[in-house]
Amino acid sequence: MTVVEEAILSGGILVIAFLTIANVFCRTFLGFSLAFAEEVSQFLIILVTFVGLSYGAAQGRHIRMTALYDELPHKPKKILTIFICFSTSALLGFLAWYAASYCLTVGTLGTVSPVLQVPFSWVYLSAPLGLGLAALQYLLAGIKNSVSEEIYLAYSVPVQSDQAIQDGI
Amino acid sequence: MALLLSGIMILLLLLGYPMKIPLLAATVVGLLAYFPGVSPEVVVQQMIGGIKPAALIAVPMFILAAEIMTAGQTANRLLALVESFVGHVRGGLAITTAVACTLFGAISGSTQATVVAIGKPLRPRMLKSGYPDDFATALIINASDIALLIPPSIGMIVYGVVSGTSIGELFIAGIGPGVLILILFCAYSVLATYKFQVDPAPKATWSERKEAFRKALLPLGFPAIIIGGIYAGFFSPTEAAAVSVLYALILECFIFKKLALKQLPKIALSTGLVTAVVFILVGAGAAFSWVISFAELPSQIINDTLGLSADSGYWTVALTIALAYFVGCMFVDPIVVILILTPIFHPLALAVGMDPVLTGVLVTLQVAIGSATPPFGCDIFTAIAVFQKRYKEVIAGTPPFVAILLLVSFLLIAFPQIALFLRDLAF
Repeated sequence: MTVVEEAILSGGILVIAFLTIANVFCRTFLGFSLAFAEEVSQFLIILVTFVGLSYGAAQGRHIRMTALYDELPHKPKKILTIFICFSTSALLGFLAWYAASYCLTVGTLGTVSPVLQVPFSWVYLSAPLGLGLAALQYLLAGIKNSVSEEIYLAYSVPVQSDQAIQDGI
Repeated sequence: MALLLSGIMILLLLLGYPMKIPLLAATVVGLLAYFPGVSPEVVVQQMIGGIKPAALIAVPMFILAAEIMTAGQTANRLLALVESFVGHVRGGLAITTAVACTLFGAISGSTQATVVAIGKPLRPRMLKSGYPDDFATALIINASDIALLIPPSIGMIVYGVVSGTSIGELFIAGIGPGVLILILFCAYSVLATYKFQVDPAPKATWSERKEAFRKALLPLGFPAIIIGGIYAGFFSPTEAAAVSVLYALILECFIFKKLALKQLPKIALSTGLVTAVVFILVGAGAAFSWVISFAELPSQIINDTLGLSADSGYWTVALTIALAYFVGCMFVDPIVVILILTPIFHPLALAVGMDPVLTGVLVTLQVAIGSATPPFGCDIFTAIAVFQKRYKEVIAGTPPFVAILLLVSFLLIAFPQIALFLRDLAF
């Protein structure tokens, strides 16, 4: 899973860069625009965002404000972490459900993208997938925290690497 | 409703939830509690709508360009150039830091990248030549914030998209205030060095300067591409961003040969992750704005809570806007603040006749100041992570810098031409 997600994140960004550059090149030197370039970039940015949501959750890389959290003693901190994991998972699961239902709605309407004629319901599929996988990640992290002594930020990321979050953006 | 939503957000933020969750939770609760007839599908629809604008594609492109340059030689060459000219004067290394941060900001647009690329190599050298730690750290954090004002700027792109203001005009209007801050920081650095004993760097000869200039010539092409390209009408901000990715690649991989092409996927992965983190916030912010606008909260907050209207006058409105964004950024991420507050304040600013570009620059400046201000300005946490210092040590030296930045805010409100003269010249 991780490998696929990494490939999508890295590849998505590189393809967007390539398409945008190619578009400038064609317009400036060859006199025509690649009409599909902007459309594909938009699809990819949606894909990167939602895939990154679950990847970021798995890596414990989403920004949080930990100034007060850090001051707590171990025991309450652990209970709070478990609570955060499960409630975050529930909220994202809720949204994943409605994202799926939104895809169905768009699918019934049958709207397609203007240039490539790609059905929008396909493009938006990354939303329920990303939200659902992220919900699963937080659920796993919550279970891991419930059964182990240490505090985990994500299923395989103990809290010591908290610093990584701060240099995230 | 406003109380309930802000209560949820503040509580969840303080508890340490990932930043997107308080926004999404408040959005969902607001929708379910006040509009039970509306399907929550609309939250997802608005999230996707929020990240779709083509102008936003500039954000990952500028981040990618910055990451390529941080991994390569660009920052070092700029640093060497600045130092060869000002290193020997009083406070030379401090001035070098401020100028190099501004220059790097002019090619990267990310505060965090500037702290890493310029602050990391310069801080140990400042300490070695006798600058106190709190001064050096505070200077780096605050000078890196100039990157937000000098084009390209990620904050300005987000503001431009949310408010419908021209990103190109915002970019050029940020230069004036950015340079003014730089001058004041340099002046303060010179004054401050009277207090402590600092060894000046040896004076560079003119041939050394020429050599440093020759080496920095290519990196200096970035601002020319970005600003020149946009104003000459060659490309949109997004295309300028993609072209600077290409330029960064050519420089670092083929001319400086500091970077191997096979490192590129790893750099792109890191860019993708940072992009996703930012864009989830943008999407969540868009959904949140939709719910509060649907509930007509912005006008209620402006008219009833704050008692402001189109007759409130320029100063009252400008100061309120400045204060709101400044305080917001002392607590949460700047992008979140821009997304939440802009739909509330933008119509009011228009109503009192503020130039949208001026509002945008004022907002960006406040966002920059707030990010470096305790208690929770996010740059402070970047510095804690990058320099491995404690919170207290990082914030010890910030007050004089924040004072200078607030002074610039007042000047900007009093004399909007500081920002607008370049814009008026160019457009």
